[in-house]
Amino acid sequence: MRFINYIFIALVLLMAGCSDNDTEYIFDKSVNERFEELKTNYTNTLAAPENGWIAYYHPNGKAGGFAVLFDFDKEGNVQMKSDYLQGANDDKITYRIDKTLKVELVFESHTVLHQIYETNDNDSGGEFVFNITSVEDEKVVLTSKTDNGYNGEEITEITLVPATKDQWDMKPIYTMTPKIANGYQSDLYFRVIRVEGTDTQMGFSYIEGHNKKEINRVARISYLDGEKVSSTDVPVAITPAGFKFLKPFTINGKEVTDFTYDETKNIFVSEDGGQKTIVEHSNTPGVVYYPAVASLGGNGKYLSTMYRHSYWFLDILRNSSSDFKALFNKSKISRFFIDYNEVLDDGTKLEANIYFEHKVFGLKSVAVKVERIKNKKIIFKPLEDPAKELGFLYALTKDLYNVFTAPEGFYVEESSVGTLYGTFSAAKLISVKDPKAYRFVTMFVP
Amino acid sequence: MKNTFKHISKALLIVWAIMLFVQCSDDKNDLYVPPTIVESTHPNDVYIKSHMFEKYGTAVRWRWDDRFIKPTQRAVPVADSLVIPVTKLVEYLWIGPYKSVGKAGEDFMDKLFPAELQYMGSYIFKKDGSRLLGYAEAGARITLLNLNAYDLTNRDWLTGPGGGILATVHHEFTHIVHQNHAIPVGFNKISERYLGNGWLNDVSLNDAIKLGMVRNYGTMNEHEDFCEIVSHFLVMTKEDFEARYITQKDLSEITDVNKLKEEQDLNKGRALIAQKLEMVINYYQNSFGFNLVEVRDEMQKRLDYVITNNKFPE
Repeated sequence: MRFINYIFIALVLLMAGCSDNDTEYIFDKSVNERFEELKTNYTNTLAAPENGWIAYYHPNGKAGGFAVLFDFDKEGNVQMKSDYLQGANDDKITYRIDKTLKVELVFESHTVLHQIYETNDNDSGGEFVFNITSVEDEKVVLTSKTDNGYNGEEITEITLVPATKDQWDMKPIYTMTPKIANGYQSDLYFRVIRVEGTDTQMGFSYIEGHNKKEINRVARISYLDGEKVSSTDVPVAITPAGFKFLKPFTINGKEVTDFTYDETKNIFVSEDGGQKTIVEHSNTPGVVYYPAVASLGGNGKYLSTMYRHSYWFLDILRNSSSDFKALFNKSKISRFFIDYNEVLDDGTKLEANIYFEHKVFGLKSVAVKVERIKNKKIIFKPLEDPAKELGFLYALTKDLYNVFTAPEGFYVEESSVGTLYGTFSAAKLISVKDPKAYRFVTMFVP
Repeated sequence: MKNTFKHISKALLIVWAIMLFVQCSDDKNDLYVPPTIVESTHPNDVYIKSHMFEKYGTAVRWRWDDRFIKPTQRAVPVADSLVIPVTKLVEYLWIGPYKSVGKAGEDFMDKLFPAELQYMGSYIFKKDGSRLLGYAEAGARITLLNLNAYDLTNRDWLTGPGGGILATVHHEFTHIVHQNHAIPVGFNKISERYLGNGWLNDVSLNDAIKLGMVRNYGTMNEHEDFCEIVSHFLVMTKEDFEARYITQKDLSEITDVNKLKEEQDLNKGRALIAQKLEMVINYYQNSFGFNLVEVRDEMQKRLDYVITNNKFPE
């Protein structure tokens, strides 16, 4: 065969190799083009609402929530406003729609989301780089890029919905904030959440506070769970009208979320689920469950209540009710304590002795019998004639003694006393007959 | 015949190779479209472009980008209102003192000032509970941390050895110096030993001085030792630096045996630090042609101005 023939065959073979070499592309545009289109669409949607967006932010579902307003423009700027620290971190910053594994929304410089993230050395949860989970005209869902959901931790998610012009004015929220606090314009000690017309009642406590270590804005709801009490912390957002739960909470079989403040009655009311759910201050606990009744005075330790010269006096004073402090001051005694399980010199075993000390009349005591009603209350029943045992001191301490030996007894809450030398375990006794007037702390003296 | 076949084979091979290059010539990937880059008009970017990029060829990253942090680390971005003030600080208290000592200082900065600065608002906190104060990478990028605490009236924020911004900046910049030029020959032989990760085990300042280092972190290895000496020398006042690290204490009045032993050991350590410092100053003079003492004096003058006036000169 001639040389030219070999070349001809080779050429034919090579050209045949090219004959059907078209790549079938899945998309008709490059990844960059498709991303640019998506970015434009997302930017347009974010910038569309006339009054921007509002979201209620609660990092990792734990703390919060805080109302955060976003007003995006198409040039990559976002004005942010929130009720966290009364808007101390409000700012206009830049944002970026970017892509890594997913399309993400990055809040690029420091504002409220970062301020919350920084709590506890950047270890309090939260996020400022979000995967864009869904985008609709009326709703944008953003999901944390870095939360991994390990150890059951909730993944931070925020849902943006169009805001109204009024929502940009935070003053109504700031006005409402103190009204949610425990004890607002009420001297009743307990707070309950109950359903009108039913027996359903639970304990309710609002916890709010921020510092470098933690952020709290939750409703702690306690309820009987079998024989013991369980409690659930529900993140709360404050609204101009009242507050809302940021996680569904079921009471009496109905999910409740939004509460409105009733100024005339100083209560919060929800009509969700067709039932009237009320949060109010009360003279009785939402749930009567006080296991500390069993341990009070255990191990033969005496309990110091009021002792003017002790290093724990100030904290005990701080945590006792004003009526009780007034009684103590009126009595002019310097010390008041309870000694449990005391054995007298003649071998008589007393369940408890109440001691009063006065700089003139000295130290006197009167014995009482202790009755413990499991998980409910403790009652101190008179065993001796106090007038006889206390002598001249009785005239000064009669009112205190009567409070102490009231037949209704006391609820017992676990407590603690902070001193210069550390924190000591203690108990708070709350009068069942008159909890708003008589509450005092007794410390287990080391 | 054998030769003819060889020639034909060769010719075919050449043709085939040529065709490999030309075949399918119309099969270009015309779906690739490069991403669009639009130059930012943000005031921070405009300032950075004119004051850092055009003057020093340095890119400053201030917008959050998690590519610059490991997944196990946690930090937050810098406040955008602080980007220009921090950049002024970089110019006045980092670049300025070196450039003020003449052409050698200018050449030094032109050559070694990092190509990239990364600003972050907080420290970087790690899973193990420790935190990073700043870091230099690949001789080209320095990450500045805790910038949201910016406070020109706070000398500790500026110069404190445990995280002061200038102490960190000059420490990290010195890493870039040795990453490009190595440390002075013999520097690593002056102290008897380094502690490696043992520096974390409650090494006190006195423990470090006894070993001939100015801070516990310097006891880790010769590179950290070198960077700590340079940064302490530059940001501490002359009086404080010499009193703590150089001047031999008079021990003639000490009668307590334990105290005497302690002070003797500290004096030995100070002698080692003085020896290292002399080597460092000679190294800068011989390698780069300027006197580090002059840089320090200028730095102190500028620091006094900033702390007194709470601003940078226009």
